[in-house]
Amino acid sequence: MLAVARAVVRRDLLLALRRRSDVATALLFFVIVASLFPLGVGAEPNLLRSIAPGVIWVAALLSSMLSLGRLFAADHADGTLEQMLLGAAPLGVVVSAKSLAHWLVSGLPLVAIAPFIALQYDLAPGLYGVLALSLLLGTPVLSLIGAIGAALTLGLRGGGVLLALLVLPLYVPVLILGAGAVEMAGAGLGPEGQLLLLGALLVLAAAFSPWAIAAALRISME
Amino acid sequence: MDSSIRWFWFASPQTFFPLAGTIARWCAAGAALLAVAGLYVGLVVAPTDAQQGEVYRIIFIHVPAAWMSMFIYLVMAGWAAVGLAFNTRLSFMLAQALAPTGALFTFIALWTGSLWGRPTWGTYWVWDARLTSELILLFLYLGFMALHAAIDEPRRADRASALLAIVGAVNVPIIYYSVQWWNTLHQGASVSITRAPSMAAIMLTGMLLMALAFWLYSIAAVLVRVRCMIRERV
Amino acid sequence: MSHGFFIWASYGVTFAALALEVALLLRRSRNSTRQADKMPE
Repeated sequence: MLAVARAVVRRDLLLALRRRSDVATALLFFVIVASLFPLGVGAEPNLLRSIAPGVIWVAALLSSMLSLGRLFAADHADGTLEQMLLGAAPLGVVVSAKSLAHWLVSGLPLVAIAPFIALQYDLAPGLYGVLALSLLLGTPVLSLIGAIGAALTLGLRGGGVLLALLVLPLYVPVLILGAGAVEMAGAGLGPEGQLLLLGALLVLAAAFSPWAIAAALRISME
Repeated sequence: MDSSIRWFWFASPQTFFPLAGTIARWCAAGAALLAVAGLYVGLVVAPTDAQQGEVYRIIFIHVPAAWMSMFIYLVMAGWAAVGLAFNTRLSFMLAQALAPTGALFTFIALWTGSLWGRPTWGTYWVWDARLTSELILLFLYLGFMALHAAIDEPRRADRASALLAIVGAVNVPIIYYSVQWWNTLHQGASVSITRAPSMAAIMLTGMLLMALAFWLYSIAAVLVRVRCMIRERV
Repeated sequence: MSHGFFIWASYGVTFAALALEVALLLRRSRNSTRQADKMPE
């Protein structure tokens, strides 16, 4: 089973590497969205410092969501997905591996880029760690929950926007906890509660969403 | 086995159709009676509130509508689960039929909550825990209906939206509690719009009557809708 | 804006929304019955 997972992750990473521009555009989107807010609300430093966690998290949400379309589309188009459904490997393992690969390429880089955005917003120095940790815990959850939506909207017209409508309400707890952790730390109240809850969400998502993703794929591919 | 045959007797659209009609008629009548009773208690019998004056009477619509919006979502997810488990088409139809009524009550809860907020707290929108959760619930309903509408093939549409409903239902408590926490963090000690003045028994009676009226109305409306769907699809 | 306005708007829109749902349902019911009657069994 582990061999299958490793193979799937390797394959997806290789494919993503060959389409570097697709990956890069999603990350660029993250940066652009975060840059829009000061243009909209004004560059007053105190304001920016207070909205920074929320803005960065919303940008992460949107960027993660945009990249979800890629998760199953290519495999669906060339028939690989059908083979995965018919194959001997448990579908849950396969989709978990695909979600992991997706996160490595679309979520983990956000953790690396976020500090630079935080710099733009003049976030207090002590909060960088909490921000990175909250994103590290939260972005995998976004990938996992988003994969359910991607599987349900496979091949549909208007898929991208529909995916957004379906998945964003489900993203709300992650957003609240992630941004909240940074804000709590900023207020000197300690982010442990939020971070632990994020961890709990991650465990729940990792345990249950593979089943849901597999079920959704079977429904979409009948 | 004999018992299992009886369980699925009404799972056939043909046998369910007349039953639905009968139940719908009785529930419609009951809803009308209970609504009259509830409105009488709410608008005539219940006394003027010391702090909020007459405006608090919106509670007799707002709270029952909010209850119904959440209850209907759970029932919808329940029928979705039954449909996925037993592969009964009627279960999926019921889930589909529940969505518009549920969304309507969510809208009513939001609308009345907004109008209650304006005279009491000064703004038409208050980011308090219940209203924000209701807003997200509305998005969940709309997403459910949008997904079903976006898929042409009926079987895939039924099953996909059913799975979405179940995933949503699992998330609703998580969403509710995270929004609750978010609300306390950002509002501090300010009073919640939804914390009504300490419930006098008469106010509770009014709310319960209206809730029951809404419940019977929902059953009637949903069953009529299912009958339409049966006619259209069979 | 008197308090009466808010109460009327709340109850009024609620009643109107429910009435709209009922009206749409009845119209759908009439249409589907007509359509079902036309279909050769």
